[in-house]
Amino acid sequence: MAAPPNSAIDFVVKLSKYCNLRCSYCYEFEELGDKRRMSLDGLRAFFEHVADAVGRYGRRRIDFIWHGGEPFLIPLEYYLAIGELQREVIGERVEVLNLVQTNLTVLTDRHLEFLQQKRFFSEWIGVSFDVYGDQRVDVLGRLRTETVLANIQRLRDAGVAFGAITVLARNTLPHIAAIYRFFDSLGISFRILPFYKSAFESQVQAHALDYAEIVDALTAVFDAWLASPTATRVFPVDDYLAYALAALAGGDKRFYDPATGETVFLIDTDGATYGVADTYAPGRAYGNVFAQDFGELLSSPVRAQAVADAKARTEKHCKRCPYHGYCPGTFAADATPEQRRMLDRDGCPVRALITHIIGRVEHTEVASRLADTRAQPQPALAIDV
Amino acid sequence: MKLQPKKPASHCSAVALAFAAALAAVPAVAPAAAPLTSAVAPDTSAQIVPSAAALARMNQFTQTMLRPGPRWIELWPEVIHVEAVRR
Repeated sequence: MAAPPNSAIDFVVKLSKYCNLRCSYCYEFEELGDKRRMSLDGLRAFFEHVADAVGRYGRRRIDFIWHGGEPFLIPLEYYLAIGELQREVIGERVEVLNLVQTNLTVLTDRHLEFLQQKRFFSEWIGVSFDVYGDQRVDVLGRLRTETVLANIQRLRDAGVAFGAITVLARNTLPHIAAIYRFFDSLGISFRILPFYKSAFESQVQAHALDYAEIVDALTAVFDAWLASPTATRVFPVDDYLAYALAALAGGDKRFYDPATGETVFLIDTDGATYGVADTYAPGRAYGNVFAQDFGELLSSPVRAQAVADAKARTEKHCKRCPYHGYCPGTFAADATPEQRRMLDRDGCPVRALITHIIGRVEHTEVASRLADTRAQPQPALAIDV
Repeated sequence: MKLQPKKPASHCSAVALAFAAALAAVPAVAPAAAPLTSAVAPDTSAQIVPSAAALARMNQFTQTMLRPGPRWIELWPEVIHVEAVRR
Protein backbone atom coordinates (compact mmCIF):
# COMPACT_ATOMS: atom_id res chain seq x y z
CA MET A 1 0.00 0.00 0.00
CA ALA A 2 1.60 3.23 -1.13
CA ALA A 3 0.96 6.53 0.57
CA PRO A 4 -2.38 8.02 -0.45
CA PRO A 5 -2.44 11.24 -2.44
CA ASN A 6 -1.94 14.43 -0.47
CA SER A 7 -0.73 12.57 2.57
CA ALA A 8 1.71 13.81 5.14
CA ILE A 9 5.04 12.71 6.45
CA ASP A 10 5.77 13.09 10.16
CA PHE A 11 9.12 14.18 11.54
CA VAL A 12 9.25 13.75 15.32
CA VAL A 13 11.93 16.31 16.10
CA LYS A 14 13.94 15.94 19.31
CA LEU A 15 14.74 19.62 19.60
CA SER A 16 16.23 19.01 23.07
CA LYS A 17 16.04 16.21 25.61
CA TYR A 18 15.86 18.65 28.51
CA CYS A 19 12.78 18.12 30.67
CA ASN A 20 11.43 19.31 34.00
CA LEU A 21 9.74 15.94 34.66
CA ARG A 22 11.33 12.63 35.57
CA CYS A 23 8.78 10.00 34.54
CA SER A 24 10.61 6.77 35.21
CA TYR A 25 9.08 5.05 32.18
CA CYS A 26 10.42 7.68 29.76
CA TYR A 27 12.63 6.26 27.00
CA GLU A 28 14.69 9.45 27.18
CA PHE A 29 15.18 9.12 30.93
CA GLU A 30 18.97 9.12 30.91
CA GLU A 31 19.15 12.36 28.88
CA LEU A 32 16.43 14.45 30.50
CA GLY A 33 18.97 16.73 32.18
CA ASP A 34 20.80 17.49 28.93
CA LYS A 35 20.15 21.10 27.92
CA ARG A 36 21.72 20.88 24.47
CA ARG A 37 19.37 21.72 21.64
CA MET A 38 19.40 21.53 17.86
CA SER A 39 21.22 24.48 16.35
CA LEU A 40 19.56 26.74 13.79
CA ASP A 41 22.32 25.74 11.36
CA GLY A 42 21.40 22.10 11.86
CA LEU A 43 17.73 22.90 11.40
CA ARG A 44 18.45 24.88 8.22
CA ALA A 45 20.25 21.87 6.77
CA PHE A 46 17.37 19.62 7.89
CA PHE A 47 14.81 21.78 6.09
CA GLU A 48 16.94 21.92 2.94
CA HIS A 49 17.33 18.16 2.96
CA VAL A 50 13.61 17.39 3.25
CA ALA A 51 11.95 20.20 1.27
CA ASP A 52 12.05 18.44 -2.11
CA ALA A 53 12.73 14.88 -1.01
CA VAL A 54 9.35 14.42 0.66
CA GLY A 55 7.65 15.26 -2.65
CA ARG A 56 9.67 12.57 -4.39
CA TYR A 57 8.52 10.21 -1.62
CA GLY A 58 4.94 11.01 -2.62
CA ARG A 59 4.02 13.30 0.26
CA ARG A 60 2.49 16.72 -0.01
CA ARG A 61 2.74 17.92 3.57
CA ILE A 62 5.32 17.80 6.34
CA ASP A 63 4.17 17.60 9.93
CA PHE A 64 7.01 18.67 12.18
CA ILE A 65 6.18 17.32 15.62
CA TRP A 66 8.32 19.29 18.06
CA HIS A 67 9.21 16.88 20.80
CA GLY A 68 11.60 16.49 23.68
CA GLY A 69 12.28 16.68 26.49
CA GLU A 70 9.75 19.37 27.19
CA PRO A 71 9.41 21.65 24.15
CA PHE A 72 7.95 24.53 26.19
CA LEU A 73 11.23 24.88 28.07
CA ILE A 74 12.67 26.19 24.80
CA PRO A 75 12.22 29.98 24.49
CA LEU A 76 9.35 30.92 22.18
CA GLU A 77 11.73 33.16 20.23
CA TYR A 78 13.52 30.03 19.11
CA TYR A 79 10.35 28.72 17.51
CA LEU A 80 9.82 32.04 15.77
CA ALA A 81 13.35 31.76 14.38
CA ILE A 82 12.60 28.20 13.24
CA GLY A 83 9.44 29.45 11.53
CA GLU A 84 11.49 32.10 9.70
CA LEU A 85 13.90 29.40 8.56
CA GLN A 86 11.03 27.24 7.30
CA ARG A 87 9.61 30.11 5.27
CA GLU A 88 13.05 30.95 3.87
CA VAL A 89 14.21 27.41 3.10
CA ILE A 90 11.04 25.42 2.42
CA GLY A 91 8.84 28.26 1.24
CA GLU A 92 5.91 27.03 -0.84
CA ARG A 93 7.58 23.83 -1.96
CA VAL A 94 5.55 21.73 0.44
CA GLU A 95 2.85 22.43 3.00
CA VAL A 96 4.10 22.52 6.57
CA LEU A 97 2.37 22.02 9.90
CA ASN A 98 4.13 22.56 13.21
CA LEU A 99 2.75 20.48 16.06
CA VAL A 100 4.02 20.07 19.59
CA GLN A 101 3.86 17.40 22.26
CA THR A 102 4.03 18.98 25.71
CA ASN A 103 3.68 17.80 29.30
CA LEU A 104 1.73 21.05 29.91
CA THR A 105 3.43 21.81 33.20
CA VAL A 106 4.99 24.97 31.76
CA LEU A 107 2.31 27.23 30.31
CA THR A 108 2.69 30.94 30.79
CA ASP A 109 0.20 33.53 29.55
CA ARG A 110 2.67 34.18 26.77
CA HIS A 111 2.57 30.50 25.77
CA LEU A 112 -1.21 30.68 25.69
CA GLU A 113 -1.19 33.81 23.57
CA PHE A 114 1.39 32.21 21.27
CA LEU A 115 -0.82 29.14 20.85
CA GLN A 116 -4.03 31.10 20.54
CA GLN A 117 -2.60 33.22 17.75
CA LYS A 118 -0.98 30.21 16.01
CA ARG A 119 2.25 32.13 15.75
CA PHE A 120 4.21 28.93 15.14
CA PHE A 121 2.30 25.84 16.23
CA SER A 122 -0.53 24.98 13.87
CA GLU A 123 -4.08 24.29 14.78
CA TRP A 124 -3.63 21.72 17.49
CA ILE A 125 -1.26 20.65 20.24
CA GLY A 126 -0.64 17.32 21.94
CA VAL A 127 -0.63 16.99 25.72
CA SER A 128 1.14 14.08 27.43
CA PHE A 129 -0.95 13.32 30.48
CA ASP A 130 -1.75 10.06 32.26
CA VAL A 131 -4.49 11.68 34.41
CA TYR A 132 -4.12 9.11 37.17
CA GLY A 133 -1.04 7.22 38.30
CA ASP A 134 2.14 8.32 39.98
CA GLN A 135 4.70 8.65 37.21
CA ARG A 136 4.51 12.22 36.05
CA VAL A 137 6.69 13.83 38.70
CA ASP A 138 9.14 16.70 38.58
CA VAL A 139 12.84 16.60 39.44
CA LEU A 140 11.94 16.84 43.14
CA GLY A 141 9.54 13.91 42.89
CA ARG A 142 6.38 16.02 43.15
CA LEU A 143 3.36 14.85 41.19
CA ARG A 144 2.32 17.60 38.75
CA THR A 145 -1.27 16.52 38.15
CA GLU A 146 -2.85 19.64 39.66
CA THR A 147 -0.76 21.90 37.44
CA VAL A 148 -1.69 19.99 34.30
CA LEU A 149 -5.39 19.96 35.19
CA ALA A 150 -5.31 23.72 35.69
CA ASN A 151 -3.47 24.22 32.40
CA ILE A 152 -5.91 21.99 30.51
CA GLN A 153 -8.64 24.27 31.81
CA ARG A 154 -6.67 27.30 30.61
CA LEU A 155 -6.27 25.76 27.13
CA ARG A 156 -10.01 25.16 26.98
CA ASP A 157 -10.82 28.65 28.20
CA ALA A 158 -8.46 30.11 25.60
CA GLY A 159 -9.99 28.03 22.80
CA VAL A 160 -6.76 26.21 21.96
CA ALA A 161 -7.47 22.85 20.29
CA PHE A 162 -5.61 19.92 21.76
CA GLY A 163 -5.59 16.16 22.16
CA ALA A 164 -3.79 13.96 24.64
CA ILE A 165 -1.54 10.94 24.90
CA THR A 166 -1.67 8.61 27.90
CA VAL A 167 0.96 5.97 28.54
CA LEU A 168 -0.53 2.58 29.38
CA ALA A 169 1.93 1.06 31.80
CA ARG A 170 1.97 -0.69 35.16
CA ASN A 171 0.95 2.44 37.06
CA THR A 172 -1.89 3.54 34.78
CA LEU A 173 -3.38 0.13 34.03
CA PRO A 174 -5.65 0.05 37.11
CA HIS A 175 -7.04 3.45 36.13
CA ILE A 176 -7.68 2.93 32.43
CA ALA A 177 -11.48 3.03 32.74
CA ALA A 178 -11.33 6.25 34.76
CA ILE A 179 -8.86 7.74 32.29
CA TYR A 180 -11.29 7.11 29.41
CA ARG A 181 -14.13 8.54 31.45
CA PHE A 182 -12.13 11.67 32.25
CA PHE A 183 -11.28 12.46 28.63
CA ASP A 184 -14.69 11.37 27.35
CA SER A 185 -16.55 13.57 29.80
CA LEU A 186 -14.55 16.55 28.56
CA GLY A 187 -14.72 15.58 24.88
CA ILE A 188 -10.94 15.39 24.61
CA SER A 189 -9.79 12.87 22.03
CA PHE A 190 -6.69 10.96 23.08
CA ARG A 191 -4.27 8.19 22.24
CA ILE A 192 -3.43 5.31 24.52
CA LEU A 193 0.21 4.45 24.12
CA PRO A 194 1.05 1.07 25.63
CA PHE A 195 4.60 1.17 27.02
CA TYR A 196 6.56 0.31 23.88
CA LYS A 197 10.05 1.69 24.03
CA SER A 198 12.63 1.67 26.79
CA ALA A 199 15.97 3.18 27.68
CA PHE A 200 17.17 0.23 29.76
CA GLU A 201 16.03 -3.22 30.79
CA SER A 202 14.90 -2.35 34.32
CA GLN A 203 12.33 0.03 32.80
CA VAL A 204 10.78 -2.91 31.00
CA GLN A 205 10.65 -4.92 34.21
CA ALA A 206 9.05 -2.06 36.12
CA HIS A 207 6.58 -0.69 33.60
CA ALA A 208 5.89 -3.08 30.70
CA LEU A 209 2.56 -4.89 30.50
CA ASP A 210 1.96 -8.31 29.10
CA TYR A 211 -0.25 -9.15 26.15
CA ALA A 212 -3.34 -10.02 28.18
CA GLU A 213 -3.11 -6.84 30.23
CA ILE A 214 -2.89 -4.65 27.13
CA VAL A 215 -5.71 -6.48 25.36
CA ASP A 216 -7.93 -6.39 28.43
CA ALA A 217 -7.33 -2.68 28.89
CA LEU A 218 -8.05 -1.79 25.27
CA THR A 219 -11.15 -4.00 25.08
CA ALA A 220 -12.45 -2.32 28.23
CA VAL A 221 -11.86 1.06 26.62
CA PHE A 222 -13.63 -0.01 23.44
CA ASP A 223 -16.63 -1.20 25.44
CA ALA A 224 -16.69 2.09 27.36
CA TRP A 225 -16.49 4.00 24.07
CA LEU A 226 -19.28 1.91 22.49
CA ALA A 227 -21.70 2.67 25.32
CA SER A 228 -20.73 6.30 25.81
CA PRO A 229 -23.33 8.92 24.81
CA THR A 230 -20.48 11.10 23.56
CA ALA A 231 -18.15 8.36 22.27
CA THR A 232 -15.10 10.60 22.26
CA ARG A 233 -12.53 9.12 19.93
CA VAL A 234 -9.70 7.19 21.43
CA PHE A 235 -6.78 5.86 19.45
CA PRO A 236 -5.63 3.23 18.55
CA VAL A 237 -9.07 1.74 19.32
CA ASP A 238 -10.58 3.95 16.61
CA ASP A 239 -8.09 2.53 14.10
CA TYR A 240 -8.96 -1.01 15.15
CA LEU A 241 -12.68 -0.25 14.74
CA ALA A 242 -11.96 0.74 11.14
CA TYR A 243 -10.11 -2.54 10.57
CA ALA A 244 -12.96 -4.55 12.11
CA LEU A 245 -15.59 -2.85 9.96
CA ALA A 246 -13.46 -3.35 6.87
CA ALA A 247 -13.22 -7.05 7.70
CA LEU A 248 -17.00 -7.21 8.03
CA ALA A 249 -17.38 -5.35 4.72
CA GLY A 250 -15.00 -7.71 2.92
CA GLY A 251 -13.81 -6.68 -0.51
CA ASP A 252 -10.37 -5.79 -1.72
CA LYS A 253 -7.45 -6.05 0.63
CA ARG A 254 -4.57 -3.66 0.94
CA PHE A 255 -1.29 -4.19 2.70
CA TYR A 256 1.18 -1.85 4.34
CA ASP A 257 4.40 -1.54 2.39
CA PRO A 258 7.06 -0.04 4.63
CA ALA A 259 9.20 0.94 1.64
CA THR A 260 6.62 3.44 0.41
CA GLY A 261 4.25 3.74 3.36
CA GLU A 262 6.61 4.52 6.24
CA THR A 263 5.29 7.77 7.61
CA VAL A 264 6.94 8.58 10.94
CA PHE A 265 10.64 9.39 11.23
CA LEU A 266 12.41 10.43 14.41
CA ILE A 267 15.12 13.06 14.21
CA ASP A 268 17.50 12.95 17.17
CA THR A 269 19.05 16.10 18.57
CA ASP A 270 22.23 15.47 16.56
CA GLY A 271 20.30 14.89 13.31
CA ALA A 272 20.49 11.09 13.36
CA THR A 273 17.31 9.83 11.72
CA TYR A 274 15.43 6.65 12.63
CA GLY A 275 12.28 4.78 11.84
CA VAL A 276 10.00 4.05 14.78
CA ALA A 277 10.82 0.34 14.98
CA ASP A 278 14.51 0.82 15.71
CA THR A 279 14.73 4.25 17.27
CA TYR A 280 18.12 4.76 18.95
CA ALA A 281 19.21 1.17 18.26
CA PRO A 282 22.97 1.12 17.60
CA GLY A 283 23.73 0.99 13.89
CA ARG A 284 20.07 1.42 12.91
CA ALA A 285 19.99 5.13 12.02
CA TYR A 286 19.07 5.65 8.37
CA GLY A 287 21.64 8.44 8.25
CA ASN A 288 21.87 12.04 9.40
CA VAL A 289 19.43 14.54 7.96
CA PHE A 290 21.65 17.44 9.02
CA ALA A 291 24.30 16.14 6.62
CA GLN A 292 22.44 14.15 3.96
CA ASP A 293 19.47 14.60 1.67
CA PHE A 294 16.42 12.79 3.01
CA GLY A 295 16.19 10.84 -0.26
CA GLU A 296 19.64 9.46 0.44
CA LEU A 297 18.45 8.26 3.85
CA LEU A 298 15.39 6.60 2.32
CA SER A 299 17.58 4.60 -0.03
CA SER A 300 20.30 3.81 2.51
CA PRO A 301 21.38 0.20 3.15
CA VAL A 302 20.29 0.53 6.80
CA ARG A 303 16.77 1.49 5.76
CA ALA A 304 16.70 -1.27 3.17
CA GLN A 305 17.47 -3.70 6.00
CA ALA A 306 14.80 -2.10 8.18
CA VAL A 307 12.24 -2.50 5.38
CA ALA A 308 13.27 -6.14 4.89
CA ASP A 309 12.97 -6.78 8.63
CA ALA A 310 9.53 -5.14 8.70
CA LYS A 311 8.35 -7.29 5.80
CA ALA A 312 9.71 -10.39 7.51
CA ARG A 313 7.74 -9.54 10.66
CA THR A 314 4.59 -9.06 8.61
CA GLU A 315 5.18 -12.39 6.87
CA LYS A 316 5.71 -14.10 10.22
CA HIS A 317 2.88 -12.56 12.22
CA CYS A 318 0.25 -11.43 9.68
CA LYS A 319 0.23 -13.92 6.84
CA ARG A 320 -2.13 -16.35 8.55
CA CYS A 321 -4.20 -13.69 10.28
CA PRO A 322 -7.80 -13.64 8.97
CA TYR A 323 -7.84 -9.85 9.18
CA HIS A 324 -4.68 -9.17 7.22
CA GLY A 325 -5.49 -6.80 4.42
CA TYR A 326 -8.30 -5.20 6.42
CA CYS A 327 -5.71 -4.47 9.08
CA PRO A 328 -2.75 -3.30 7.03
CA GLY A 329 -0.21 -5.02 9.30
CA THR A 330 1.44 -1.85 10.52
CA PHE A 331 1.69 -3.02 14.13
CA ALA A 332 3.89 -5.98 13.27
CA ALA A 333 5.85 -4.14 10.59
CA ASP A 334 6.70 -1.20 12.85
CA ALA A 335 7.05 -3.20 16.08
CA THR A 336 9.69 -2.03 18.55
CA PRO A 337 11.88 -4.61 20.33
CA GLU A 338 9.42 -4.68 23.25
CA GLN A 339 6.49 -5.23 20.87
CA ARG A 340 8.41 -7.90 18.96
CA ARG A 341 8.86 -9.88 22.17
CA MET A 342 5.11 -9.73 22.71
CA LEU A 343 4.35 -10.79 19.14
CA ASP A 344 6.72 -13.75 19.41
CA ARG A 345 5.49 -14.84 22.82
CA ASP A 346 1.76 -14.19 22.73
CA GLY A 347 0.64 -13.09 19.29
CA CYS A 348 -0.80 -9.87 17.95
CA PRO A 349 -2.92 -7.73 20.27
CA VAL A 350 -4.49 -5.98 17.29
CA ARG A 351 -5.95 -9.29 16.13
CA ALA A 352 -7.49 -9.85 19.58
CA LEU A 353 -8.99 -6.35 19.53
CA ILE A 354 -10.46 -6.78 16.05
CA THR A 355 -12.02 -10.08 17.14
CA HIS A 356 -13.50 -8.40 20.19
CA ILE A 357 -14.85 -5.45 18.20
CA ILE A 358 -16.43 -7.69 15.57
CA GLY A 359 -18.11 -9.62 18.37
CA ARG A 360 -19.57 -6.39 19.66
CA VAL A 361 -20.76 -4.90 16.37
CA GLU A 362 -21.71 -7.89 14.22
CA HIS A 363 -25.33 -7.81 15.40
CA THR A 364 -25.77 -4.09 14.92
CA GLU A 365 -27.44 -2.25 12.05
CA VAL A 366 -24.00 -1.22 10.81
CA ALA A 367 -22.89 -4.81 10.31
CA SER A 368 -26.22 -5.66 8.63
CA ARG A 369 -25.76 -2.86 6.12
CA LEU A 370 -22.22 -3.96 5.38
CA ALA A 371 -23.40 -7.54 4.89
CA ASP A 372 -26.20 -6.42 2.54
CA THR A 373 -23.78 -4.43 0.45
CA ARG A 374 -21.30 -7.27 0.44
CA ALA A 375 -23.94 -9.53 -1.12
CA GLN A 376 -24.36 -7.19 -4.08
CA PRO A 377 -21.81 -6.67 -6.88
CA GLN A 378 -20.01 -3.37 -6.41
CA PRO A 379 -17.86 -2.80 -9.51
CA ALA A 380 -17.42 0.88 -8.72
CA LEU A 381 -15.53 0.01 -5.57
CA ALA A 382 -12.76 -1.92 -7.28
CA ILE A 383 -10.43 0.99 -7.66
CA ASP A 384 -6.72 0.66 -7.42
CA VAL A 385 -4.71 3.58 -6.22
CA MET B 1 -1.92 41.57 21.46
CA LYS B 2 -3.27 40.81 24.89
CA LEU B 3 -4.56 37.33 25.50
CA GLN B 4 -8.33 37.28 25.39
CA PRO B 5 -9.82 34.31 27.22
CA LYS B 6 -12.80 32.99 25.29
CA LYS B 7 -14.40 31.81 28.51
CA PRO B 8 -13.88 32.99 32.05
CA ALA B 9 -11.97 30.61 34.31
CA SER B 10 -13.94 29.37 37.27
CA HIS B 11 -12.60 28.55 40.69
CA CYS B 12 -13.84 24.97 40.53
CA SER B 13 -13.17 24.21 36.91
CA ALA B 14 -14.90 21.71 34.64
CA VAL B 15 -11.60 19.90 34.26
CA ALA B 16 -11.07 19.56 38.01
CA LEU B 17 -14.64 18.33 38.44
CA ALA B 18 -14.18 15.78 35.65
CA PHE B 19 -11.00 14.56 37.31
CA ALA B 20 -12.77 13.91 40.60
CA ALA B 21 -15.92 12.52 39.01
CA ALA B 22 -14.15 10.00 36.78
CA LEU B 23 -12.15 8.61 39.66
CA ALA B 24 -15.19 8.38 41.90
CA ALA B 25 -17.30 6.69 39.23
CA VAL B 26 -14.68 4.17 38.17
CA PRO B 27 -12.53 2.90 41.03
CA ALA B 28 -9.08 1.63 40.20
CA VAL B 29 -9.16 -2.00 39.10
CA ALA B 30 -6.24 -4.02 37.88
CA PRO B 31 -7.49 -5.94 34.85
CA ALA B 32 -5.02 -8.70 35.63
CA ALA B 33 -6.68 -9.22 39.00
CA ALA B 34 -10.24 -8.87 37.76
CA PRO B 35 -10.29 -9.40 33.99
CA LEU B 36 -12.63 -7.06 32.16
CA THR B 37 -12.76 -9.35 29.17
CA SER B 38 -10.97 -12.46 28.05
CA ALA B 39 -8.13 -11.61 25.70
CA VAL B 40 -8.30 -14.83 23.72
CA ALA B 41 -12.04 -15.43 23.58
CA PRO B 42 -13.84 -12.18 24.30
CA ASP B 43 -17.07 -12.59 26.18
CA THR B 44 -19.64 -10.94 23.97
CA SER B 45 -22.58 -12.76 25.50
CA ALA B 46 -23.60 -9.62 27.35
CA GLN B 47 -24.11 -7.33 24.38
CA ILE B 48 -23.57 -3.63 24.74
CA VAL B 49 -26.08 -1.40 23.02
CA PRO B 50 -24.04 1.10 21.01
CA SER B 51 -24.78 4.71 21.74
CA ALA B 52 -26.01 7.01 18.96
CA ALA B 53 -22.60 8.67 18.91
CA ALA B 54 -20.78 5.33 18.55
CA LEU B 55 -23.15 4.30 15.75
CA ALA B 56 -22.52 7.60 14.02
CA ARG B 57 -18.78 6.98 14.04
CA MET B 58 -19.25 3.46 12.69
CA ASN B 59 -21.54 4.78 9.98
CA GLN B 60 -18.91 7.34 9.07
CA PHE B 61 -16.41 4.56 8.49
CA THR B 62 -18.83 2.37 6.55
CA GLN B 63 -19.89 5.22 4.28
CA THR B 64 -16.23 5.66 3.37
CA MET B 65 -16.02 1.94 2.68
CA LEU B 66 -19.18 1.74 0.62
CA ARG B 67 -19.01 4.82 -1.55
CA PRO B 68 -17.37 4.77 -4.99
CA GLY B 69 -13.87 6.14 -5.14
CA PRO B 70 -10.76 5.38 -3.14
CA ARG B 71 -11.75 3.04 -0.35
CA TRP B 72 -11.04 3.47 3.29
CA ILE B 73 -7.94 1.34 3.14
CA GLU B 74 -6.37 3.76 0.70
CA LEU B 75 -7.50 6.66 2.77
CA TRP B 76 -7.03 5.39 6.28
CA PRO B 77 -3.61 6.82 7.14
CA GLU B 78 -4.69 10.25 5.99
CA VAL B 79 -8.20 10.02 7.42
CA ILE B 80 -6.90 8.99 10.78
CA HIS B 81 -3.96 11.32 10.68
CA VAL B 82 -5.92 14.39 9.71
CA GLU B 83 -8.61 13.64 12.22
CA ALA B 84 -5.99 13.17 14.90
CA VAL B 85 -4.33 16.44 14.01
CA ARG B 86 -7.36 18.54 13.20
CA ARG B 87 -9.93 17.30 15.62
